[in-house]
Amino acid sequence: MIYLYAIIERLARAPACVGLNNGEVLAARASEVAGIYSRHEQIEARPEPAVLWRHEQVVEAAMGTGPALPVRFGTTFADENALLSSLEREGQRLSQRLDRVRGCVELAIRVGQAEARPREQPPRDGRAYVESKLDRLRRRQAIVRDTLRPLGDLAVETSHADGGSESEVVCASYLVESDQVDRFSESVTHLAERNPRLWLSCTGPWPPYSFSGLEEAA
Amino acid sequence: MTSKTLVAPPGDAAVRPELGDALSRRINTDPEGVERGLVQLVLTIVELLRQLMERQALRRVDAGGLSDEQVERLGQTLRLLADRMDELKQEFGLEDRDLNLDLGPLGRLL
Amino acid sequence: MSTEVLPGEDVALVDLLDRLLAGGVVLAGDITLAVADIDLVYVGLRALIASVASAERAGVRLP
Repeated sequence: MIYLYAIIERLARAPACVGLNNGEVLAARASEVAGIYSRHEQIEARPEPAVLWRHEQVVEAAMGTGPALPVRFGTTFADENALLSSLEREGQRLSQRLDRVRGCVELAIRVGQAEARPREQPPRDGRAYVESKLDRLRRRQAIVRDTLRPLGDLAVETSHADGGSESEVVCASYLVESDQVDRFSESVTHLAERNPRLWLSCTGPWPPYSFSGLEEAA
Repeated sequence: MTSKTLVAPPGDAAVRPELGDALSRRINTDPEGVERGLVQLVLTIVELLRQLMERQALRRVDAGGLSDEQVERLGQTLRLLADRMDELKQEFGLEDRDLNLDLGPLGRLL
Repeated sequence: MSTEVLPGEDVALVDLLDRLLAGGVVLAGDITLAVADIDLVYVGLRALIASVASAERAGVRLP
């Protein structure tokens, strides 16, 4: 059984590290790209912190020698052949994605209200209910569009979640050139200072998880 | 693992519970509770659908062109759905944090 | 679980989880998260939601 961590350029070196269950990390090379994986008799990809961080470590090591696309946690194949045919099939799109993220990392932002809003009883009136929900939606949109604009300006690409209708927290991901991380992080600190009614957090640098998907049009 | 936190959120009241909830929603902290898991699963699906529908409805209202009466009716329906969901949760002694609502994360995908 | 995570690192862990479990390349492999079978349904649900979200972005009207 094969456990897959990341996609890298076809000729890039496999990272020297161990994967899940200390499995040796290998590269499977297809026509356009290569897959970084480990082989197991049996693998239990439990989403527990230690396992998740191990997967993350392998992806980060893969980024050491060039662009890498992180693979969703828990992705397995029966054997190398199955992996290779998948890599062949998606090779071109994967290769385009690699170009897109070359030299970049992902930074994760969360924005919330500094003062916890009291949980009000939702209004009984239908229209008022709709309006209170729309207010929240618009507040969140304003945060992404206005408050976070300076961050968008520093990024190659931005991705943000609309958010569940119950949450006040805004989550956004930024694809940023590696040498811009410090500047980005300072910008977040300044934003936090300028917006005392909000709290902000910034974590990273991460591999480009939010900019690796194949389902969107390139 | 070196710290990934570049700018930390403040460690005070408003933020901590949210993060704690967010964590427990994403990681199953009670792997032995299988029976509970079935109820949680069903209610999570129901809540997921409710939020999806509500979001669709809000977008429709935002797009404009609905009469006051239509908006009122829509709002009442959404309100009833939310109430019913609360009742279900109470019946089974579950809170939002128990419902794995973010589904790693729902927020991102909704 | 909290003993494995430094207090200030809650955010980092949540951000990592969001990305690992709902981001990254999805290839036609078998996603097998080894936990109770119930959690496999969650994985399926995520895939369903992702396709709903994509369809919406593409402008497909959903019933």
